[in-house]
Amino acid sequence: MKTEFQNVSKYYGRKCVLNQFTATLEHGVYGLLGPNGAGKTTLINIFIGILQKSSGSLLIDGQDVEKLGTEFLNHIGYLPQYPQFYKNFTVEDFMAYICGLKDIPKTIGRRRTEELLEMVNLTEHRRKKIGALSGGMRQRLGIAQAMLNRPDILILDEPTAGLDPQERIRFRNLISRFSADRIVLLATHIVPDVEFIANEVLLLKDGILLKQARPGVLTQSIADKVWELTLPDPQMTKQFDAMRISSMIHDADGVHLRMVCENCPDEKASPALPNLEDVFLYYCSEDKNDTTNLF
Amino acid sequence: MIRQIYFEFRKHFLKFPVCAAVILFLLLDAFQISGVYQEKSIFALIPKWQTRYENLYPLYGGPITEKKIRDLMAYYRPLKAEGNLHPGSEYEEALMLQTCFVIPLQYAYEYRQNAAQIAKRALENADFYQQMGNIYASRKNQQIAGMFSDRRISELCYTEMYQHYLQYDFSVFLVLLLVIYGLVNVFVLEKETEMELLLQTTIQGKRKSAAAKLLASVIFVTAISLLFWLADFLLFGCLFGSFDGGNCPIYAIEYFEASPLSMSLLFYTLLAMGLKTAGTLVFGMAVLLLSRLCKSTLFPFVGSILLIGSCLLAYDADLPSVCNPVSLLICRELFHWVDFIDLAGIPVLTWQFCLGTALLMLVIFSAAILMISGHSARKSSRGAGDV
Repeated sequence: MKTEFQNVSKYYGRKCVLNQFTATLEHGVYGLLGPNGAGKTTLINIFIGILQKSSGSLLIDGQDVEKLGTEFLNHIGYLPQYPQFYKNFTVEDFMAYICGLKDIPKTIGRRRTEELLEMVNLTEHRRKKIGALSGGMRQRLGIAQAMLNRPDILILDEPTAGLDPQERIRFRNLISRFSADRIVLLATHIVPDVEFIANEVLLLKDGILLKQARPGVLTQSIADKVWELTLPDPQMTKQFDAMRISSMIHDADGVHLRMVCENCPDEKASPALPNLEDVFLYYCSEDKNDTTNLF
Repeated sequence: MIRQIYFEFRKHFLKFPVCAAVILFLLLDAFQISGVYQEKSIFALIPKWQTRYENLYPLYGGPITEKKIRDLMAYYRPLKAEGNLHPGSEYEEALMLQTCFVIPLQYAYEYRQNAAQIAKRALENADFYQQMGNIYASRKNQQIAGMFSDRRISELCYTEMYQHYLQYDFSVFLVLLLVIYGLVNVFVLEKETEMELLLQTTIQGKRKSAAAKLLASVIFVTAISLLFWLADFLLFGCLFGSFDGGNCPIYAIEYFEASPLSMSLLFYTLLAMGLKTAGTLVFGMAVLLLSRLCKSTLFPFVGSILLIGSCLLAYDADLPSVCNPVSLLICRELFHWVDFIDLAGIPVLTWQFCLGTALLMLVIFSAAILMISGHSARKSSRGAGDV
């Protein structure tokens, strides 16, 4: 399945929250990365049809989504941001309820529920009330419900927010598992989530798509812009306050800084291998000192 | 669809707080009815009358005959002539006879004649208005004549239970509170749990899900209403120790002397249950509409209280009430007198007009809920939190 966004824009009055978004998605995990307010949720809401775009078009295998009507809903599975579900439902009840909403016949729904609960490791908790599940379990239930209709496109909005590291890794692995033969659009501002599983990253800022590329290509694009520096005196860090510092570690040797900037920030600084977090910082953060013009 | 309704019902109403509130309110209702019995029942106020009444009932109760009337008066008149009729005096027997037999028997005996008189006058009026060219008034009087032409009370029944049961309104207040409590959350819950977005991305999640919620709410309101009306009836019957009188016509109770209805008290009880349920449903759908429109529980809750409160106040202030669902909740007022609404020259009984208005309101509210549910997400301005 091929999904194309063609010059999709969204305006609230005069304010543009999504500007001429153009991208093509095929099989694999797509990390939609951007700071808060970048337009990720707007893009997703337009994609799933609960928000009308101001202009542009959205095509699925060359067909306009608007012409597909509700038929389009059969192709998507969606996990919203911060879902709480219904606390007085058991896991099984909730899955049966979603089966009803997705028009899945009872027997097929029961079989798929069993399979999916097994996959997300919730089989032994199937009779537990949702109110008694941990945050991680709830998110796993969330992805299981999204998968009930075997969607071609799986859309996950900030799925790992609030999860502990172990649950986050578990959840990432699940996404990877579900990404075979389908498009997974993963909106997040948690960079490691994308770094480990995304085939491609869509970098969004202020409603504009800055980059769409593989993580390796993105890191390569800032290969000479990441620097490491050790300062013996913590007081000395003040002169770098205005720069994009991606990490700062204090130890017995002093302070180890990792910075992202166009030029070498100090003669003692040495170049470092960039990661996706550096890319995010380079493209998405506001830099008071750096005068690099991105556009 | 049935599966969806079942899940919606479970989700919103089969919850501990709702069930606990229902049980608590039923207990409160029973307590209140017990209070009514203690305060108003003749036999609760003067318990020794009950045995005496039960002894005399086979002699003077049941089908009214000339002989029974003569026997009763032959026994009652000398007792009355002997002295005062105050409770506790040695002449109490006369007071009991007067209260429980003589006055009701006199009312029942004279009713036929009074009704025939009304029918005759109404026919005369109908002819008069016909001649004057006032067709509406003529039709109205013809209807009245038809209603009263063949009325009679042929039995003397113990109707005390019905008299008090049909004047009892406290359960209406409890049911309205439960309706607000149960329904105010129905649509708001989806927004508060961030489930609305998810629902909107499923085939059945928009209008059909809203329809399931609507039907589940109708079932809830109907079930709660009928539960309380039935509980009222059973509690009154048990406390007053009798369900007798159900076969008597509604006008056997003096309050309904001029009622437009001629059905039995039992049928009237069923009709009243239906009308009260219809009134509750109108308020229920209004609460549901507010829940559909608002994003947090507080606003529909306050809105519902204000709406129902203002309807109750408007009714109490004798403002025109044909469009006020409270008139269905306190439906006995609709059957106290014969009252018509002029509908394009056709006299329609007020209670029928009120019921029609209520059904229309139900349709309008339901349609509004379904329409908003079909469109709301597309028109919502933003997503959940992020842009």
